[in-house]
Amino acid sequence: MADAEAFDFVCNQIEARTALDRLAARGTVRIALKQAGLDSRSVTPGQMAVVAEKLLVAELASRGIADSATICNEIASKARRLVGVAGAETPDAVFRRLGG
Amino acid sequence: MTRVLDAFLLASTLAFVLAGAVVGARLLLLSARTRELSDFLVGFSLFDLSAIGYPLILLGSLGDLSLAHTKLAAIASSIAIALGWAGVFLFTQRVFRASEAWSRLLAFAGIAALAYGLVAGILFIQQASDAAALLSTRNPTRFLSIAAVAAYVWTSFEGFRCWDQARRRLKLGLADPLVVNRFLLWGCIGVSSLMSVVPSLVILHSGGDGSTDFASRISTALGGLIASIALQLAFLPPAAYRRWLTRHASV
Repeated sequence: MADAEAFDFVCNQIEARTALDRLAARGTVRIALKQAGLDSRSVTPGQMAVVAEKLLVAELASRGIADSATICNEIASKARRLVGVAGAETPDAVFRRLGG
Repeated sequence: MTRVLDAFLLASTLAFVLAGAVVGARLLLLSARTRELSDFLVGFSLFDLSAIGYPLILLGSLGDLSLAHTKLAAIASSIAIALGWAGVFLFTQRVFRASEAWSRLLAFAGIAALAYGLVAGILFIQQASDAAALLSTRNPTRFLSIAAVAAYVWTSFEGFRCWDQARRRLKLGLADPLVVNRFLLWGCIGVSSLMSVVPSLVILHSGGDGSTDFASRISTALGGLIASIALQLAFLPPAAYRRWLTRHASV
């Protein structure tokens, strides 16, 4: 199963705006997603934006990226404008529905 | 002491049958509205196991049934629990690991073991000369219990894994506290089901009688009680419990 569009978008943005190469950018975003309990294959634009704002800032700063807060806020703002593509149903969605 | 244990076992069995039947029926009704296979699978499994399978096992264990009726109850209960446990495999695969090839293989292997246990078990039951033979370690229906252990280990692992991930999302405001708790309860339902299945399986293989073994009966009773409480809280939570979870999460 391929990575979600929101994940690819944020990785590409980080690669373009920082000194991180493709592998490092994707690895950094994956670490942030893992901390958030999310999966790169099913993350939505809204979730990706929150991760960028709340977790990615520190991850980029720890890799020596200057002004990571501004970069992440801009990426988050753009990520929110992405239109999420409905993928496979997540366990969250199923268990929410089962609660009635 | 034996009377107390008998009463505890009966109470926990009735609690599980009632909770499973009510929750299963509610989820089946939900699946009729949503037309979602996942909803049907979990509703069917719960209703089938608790309202049909386990009562038939209890019926078959009554000493005063004729051999023909005991065999009939054993065959009917084997069919019901095999279908119910197949539903657990399918639900777990579809909900937690839909895109993973290995999960389809695992679900297929589990269902194949259930099918073998059921078909070979029915043939064995039909040929049994007395009721005691049904409890023999040669009875292939033990494969049903072995497959059930795999199904419950798998589904409880997935429940706890999703709970761990959902707790992290909750801290970021990306998860519903009720759903986070439902994952935890699902894991607990799997573990408590194991508490009912594993001891009797171990005792059967060691040549004992699970219906008289103290540790096995206590484990089964506790498992049934925990499962019935967890089912109620997960799928029919009282308003006070919902409020408590929401308030606890916001703190």
